[in-house]
Amino acid sequence: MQPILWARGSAAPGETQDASAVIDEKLVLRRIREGDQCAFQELLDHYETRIYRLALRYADSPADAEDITQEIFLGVFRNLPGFRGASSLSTWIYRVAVNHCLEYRRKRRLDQVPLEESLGLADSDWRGDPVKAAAKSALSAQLDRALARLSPIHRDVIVLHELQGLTYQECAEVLGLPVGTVKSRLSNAFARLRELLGAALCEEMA
Amino acid sequence: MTECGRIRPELKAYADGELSGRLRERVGAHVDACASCRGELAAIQRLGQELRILETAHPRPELRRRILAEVERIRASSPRRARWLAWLDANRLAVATAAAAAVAAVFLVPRVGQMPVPATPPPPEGPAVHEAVPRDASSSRSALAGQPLSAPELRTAKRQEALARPVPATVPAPSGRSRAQAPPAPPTADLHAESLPAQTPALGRSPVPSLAAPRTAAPGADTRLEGDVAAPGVAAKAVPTAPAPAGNTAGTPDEGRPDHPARDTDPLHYDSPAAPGSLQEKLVMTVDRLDLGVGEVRAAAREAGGYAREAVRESIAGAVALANQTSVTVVVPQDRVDDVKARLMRFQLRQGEPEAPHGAALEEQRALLLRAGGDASQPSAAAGSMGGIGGGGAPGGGFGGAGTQAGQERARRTEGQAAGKPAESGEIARVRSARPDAKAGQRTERTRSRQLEPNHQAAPGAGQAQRSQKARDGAVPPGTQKRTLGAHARTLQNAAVPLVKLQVEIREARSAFAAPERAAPGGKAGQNKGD
Repeated sequence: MQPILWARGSAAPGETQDASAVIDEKLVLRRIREGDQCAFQELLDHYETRIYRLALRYADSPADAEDITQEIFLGVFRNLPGFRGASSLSTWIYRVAVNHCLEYRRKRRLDQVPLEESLGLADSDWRGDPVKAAAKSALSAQLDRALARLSPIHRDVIVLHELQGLTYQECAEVLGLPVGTVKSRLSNAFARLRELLGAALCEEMA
Repeated sequence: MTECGRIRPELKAYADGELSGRLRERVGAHVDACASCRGELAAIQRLGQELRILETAHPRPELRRRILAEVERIRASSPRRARWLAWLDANRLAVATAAAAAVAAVFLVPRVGQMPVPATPPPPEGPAVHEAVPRDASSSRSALAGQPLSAPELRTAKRQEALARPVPATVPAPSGRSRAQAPPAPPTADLHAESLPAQTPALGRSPVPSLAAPRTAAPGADTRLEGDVAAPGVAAKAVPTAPAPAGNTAGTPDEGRPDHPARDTDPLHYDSPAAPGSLQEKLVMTVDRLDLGVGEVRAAAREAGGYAREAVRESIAGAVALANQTSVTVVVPQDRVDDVKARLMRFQLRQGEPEAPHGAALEEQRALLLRAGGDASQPSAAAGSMGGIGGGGAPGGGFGGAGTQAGQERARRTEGQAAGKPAESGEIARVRSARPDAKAGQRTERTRSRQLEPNHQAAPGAGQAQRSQKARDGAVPPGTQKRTLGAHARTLQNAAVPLVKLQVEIREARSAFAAPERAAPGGKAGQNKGD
């Protein structure tokens, strides 16, 4: 069986990924369509963490994020035969994922309060420097809160570009926006984020 | 806005390496020189780093097992579908080819027998099978029948056959008589392409004015462009994609239908996607009425190696003035379109220019010519026409002033012609210099000089240049003027050069004869401009 070569080496931040890993999208598509179970497993291995983290940004709890991630990959599996290759496979998967996340956000009850503290977005490593780790954890919590206070259009581009590592062009394709719009939204989102963080970021930088 | 204000929004993209070229260099140079922006850039980069290390969450291993189990369940529930999709994907090209062949067989093969192919002459005796199908198109449309067809001609014929397909294939001939047996169309000089048999009553369309019988023609006015063939039954056609302004009855909705005969004869129809020169462009210009007309557009197209197809002239009645709009469609080689546009755009009124920049100059010109005993018809011809329309109760009336002025102008023109005095060269030079467009001034003067000759007769058909001048200056009533497809056009269409159909829409600035005091209250004086 031919191994899948992962061509898009943009590993998610924090994810250990072989830098030389490349993906042959046509090959993996063909293998999945032919019924190769291993092909989809390899696809899942490559994208599961990224998609889970993306879902976690839209979900209220890790359990919801897992449900969203499962729905995303089942949607990918169902719709792969209709994928024509107009965009890259990665962009298409992200588009499916964002659509699911936006759909989840639309259906979410307005009175639900996100349990930010339990999301586990920032796992701190206490085994090193506990003081530094505590400070970083506090900063991460502040960043999470600031992200949550961003408007949806700003949060979307921040999540896709800063947290998922997509380029401007890929963000534009995923969100269905012009590249210029992505650029301006990112700039404005960063300005807003810095306002929200305020002194915390300055202290951290100092 | 300061330079920092312009650079700050670009700092994020600069930090992400998403700027390119000159902008990146500009931002980099500014950041090097500006400490404030340098600090801003550092803050952005730092925040980005902080954000990137946020993502440390990992899904539980159970999630992967759940997903794979669900995938297996789906796969097991629809094995046939999965196999079919896999086969379809593996044989995509073959499937597409087979589908295309099937479509071609259904739609094209039955029509092949009707195409005039000289290598296979029809059977000499007995009714052929394909003759049972009406074939009006080849009998009246194509002057190429019986002649060897070149590849472009064959493509055009195939396209025309495809476009004409619904009519003969589904509609039986009335009273059992095929259209091939129908009375021949009125004789025209060129039935090849643009001369269309008039059959409007049968199609339920409003009668289209013939070029030989303009609707509101002034006495003696000739609506044809030079080279036109005023054959009876030649139908005019409006550009289907352009919305027909009020008052334009030349174009009818039926002309956009796929089965309309006009489509058969127009290889560059706007709606024919397969036409070998189906690129269409539109150029909308606001000009002074005296500067740009049909003649200039035609000349520009001719110099670019193209030709003019049709001109639709119409009057737009607004709140305070009656303006004219002319849409001239030309066909030019694709690589010369920009030349034509550049040449025509010289006439475009710039923003801020007065709508009627030559109002004073016109008055001066008229006065000079009258003093010289000359003919002031050129600058006032349009006013005469418009005044007549306005005086006749046209919508947006209130042109009594203009009509009266035009009437006085006509009277003065008659007096001037009766006097028959030649204009003085010095005054003519002053008149010419009073106009910003020297070329247009020369052109007008040439025609005016001819008209000022003692034996000059402004009879119909006095010359092509005169007709063109009338068309340009507004003596031509609203309507559609269409050129027959000449040899040059046919050669151009058959040549393997990409053609562009350029529709030049000339919107004349608000009339110089509109009385300012008639402007409607509320500051709507400029309503017509740019309509």
